[in-house]
Amino acid sequence: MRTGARWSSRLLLRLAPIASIASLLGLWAFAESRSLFLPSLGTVFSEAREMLGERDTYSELGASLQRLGIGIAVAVAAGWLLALAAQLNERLNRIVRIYMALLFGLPSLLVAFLSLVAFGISDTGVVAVVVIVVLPFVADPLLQALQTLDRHQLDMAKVFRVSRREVVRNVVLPHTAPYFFAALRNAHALGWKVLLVAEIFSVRSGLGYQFKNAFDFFRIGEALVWLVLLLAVIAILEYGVLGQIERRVFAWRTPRQ
Amino acid sequence: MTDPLIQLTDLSAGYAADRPVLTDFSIDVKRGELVCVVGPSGCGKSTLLSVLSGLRPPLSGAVTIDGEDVYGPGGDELPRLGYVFQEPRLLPWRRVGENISIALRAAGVPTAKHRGIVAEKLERLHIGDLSEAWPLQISGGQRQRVAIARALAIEPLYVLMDEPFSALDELTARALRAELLDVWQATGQTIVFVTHSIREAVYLADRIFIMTTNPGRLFNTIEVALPRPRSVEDTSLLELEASIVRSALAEWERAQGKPAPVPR
Repeated sequence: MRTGARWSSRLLLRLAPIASIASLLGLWAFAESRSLFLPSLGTVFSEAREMLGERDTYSELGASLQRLGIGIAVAVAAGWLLALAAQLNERLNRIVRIYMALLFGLPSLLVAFLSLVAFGISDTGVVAVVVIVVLPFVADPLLQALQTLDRHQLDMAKVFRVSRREVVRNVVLPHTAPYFFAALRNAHALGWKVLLVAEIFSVRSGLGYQFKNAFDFFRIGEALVWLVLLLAVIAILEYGVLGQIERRVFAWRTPRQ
Repeated sequence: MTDPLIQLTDLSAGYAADRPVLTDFSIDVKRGELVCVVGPSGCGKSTLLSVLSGLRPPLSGAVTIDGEDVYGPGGDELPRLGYVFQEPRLLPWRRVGENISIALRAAGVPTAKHRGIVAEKLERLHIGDLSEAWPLQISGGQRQRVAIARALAIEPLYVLMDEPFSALDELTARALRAELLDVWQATGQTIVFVTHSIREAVYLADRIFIMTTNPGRLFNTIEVALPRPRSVEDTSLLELEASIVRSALAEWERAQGKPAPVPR
């Protein structure tokens, strides 16, 4: 009885992804039959095959990825600096917190507009939008990380006369790692959202621009292919890249045997 | 080779000169001696430990270790110290062996020697197979063994132990006490062991420094002349414990103006 139940639940777990994709496709087919504008599955598939064969598809994706990467890198670096500054000085801490609170609430659409005004049609403008919108979500966990350092561990390092460099390497950085990955996840998720908005406004390449184009010329099939591509890239970065790195970094959390 | 190894002279320590936590404190610890410091909460044991570890200058008095005035002019090179805390204080994200390596590196031991030293010390504490384990994978008793191995691995001038067994279950604590004595006798380390437990002190120590509170100071020094190896159940040990408890309790109650907590 019990093994039977376990066996069937395992089967369910296996089937779940397949079932979810199948039901999504079913839903699509149903919606398509009712809608004037939604292209059929077949149309989208052939569109996808064509687009995946073109080099331009990848260079557009690459352009977006590059902007996102630079934006996140700058935001993470700035986030570290802010967190360190806030940690070193009480006055700076207050100032940093005020600015962060303001940045947190800033609508990204507004940032995109202002950056278009400031930088014109350029990559710099798009990257700047990503940095400004993502920064508070990166700096905040890093700030928390530095404030929750374990006094006990630092004292231990002190009595064993561990050098400052080694303390950073063996105590501070590992402690901040979970916060850092939370920051990266924030940055990655939020980064895509604002990136696309900014690309619609300010540049003539990248996913956002392609979306806009496809919609402007009513090429819904193409827009859907871009959407699926975007989701695939997000999934690869989130589960493939970030997940794999995390698994290695947090191996020490392996449960007791 | 000067004798004694540790000398505290007219020590007064704390945060403010008008209200020292620890006052009028003079003791010496011989090379290779295992001494216990026993006292109620608030007797300044933690302050004593930080002064002894070279981390907090005393308000007055001198700390001399191996003939060097620790807080004197030119005393910026702190003596090499092994420390075992109440909690193991291992870095959970470093494997057991690496935890010890970090202390070795800080002590300036060349990297090529780490592997051998780590293996030897872990073996001595009967956890030779745990070098590659993560601290969260092993038991509390094993972690504290690693902490002891770490303290001894750097071949320190002296070892401070701050109630290292008080968070363990009694059986594990017993086993570790016996092993600590083995290791101590094998290495000839000088150990200052702080505890709440008079029984533990009587079992372990060559000499016991009984402290009292309000303000913290030395109340009595007791030579434990019992032969080794000692047994926890030995009647002479229990009698000594009882007599210390009698005299100490009376003093602690007097000092605190209320019944002292019953020592374990």
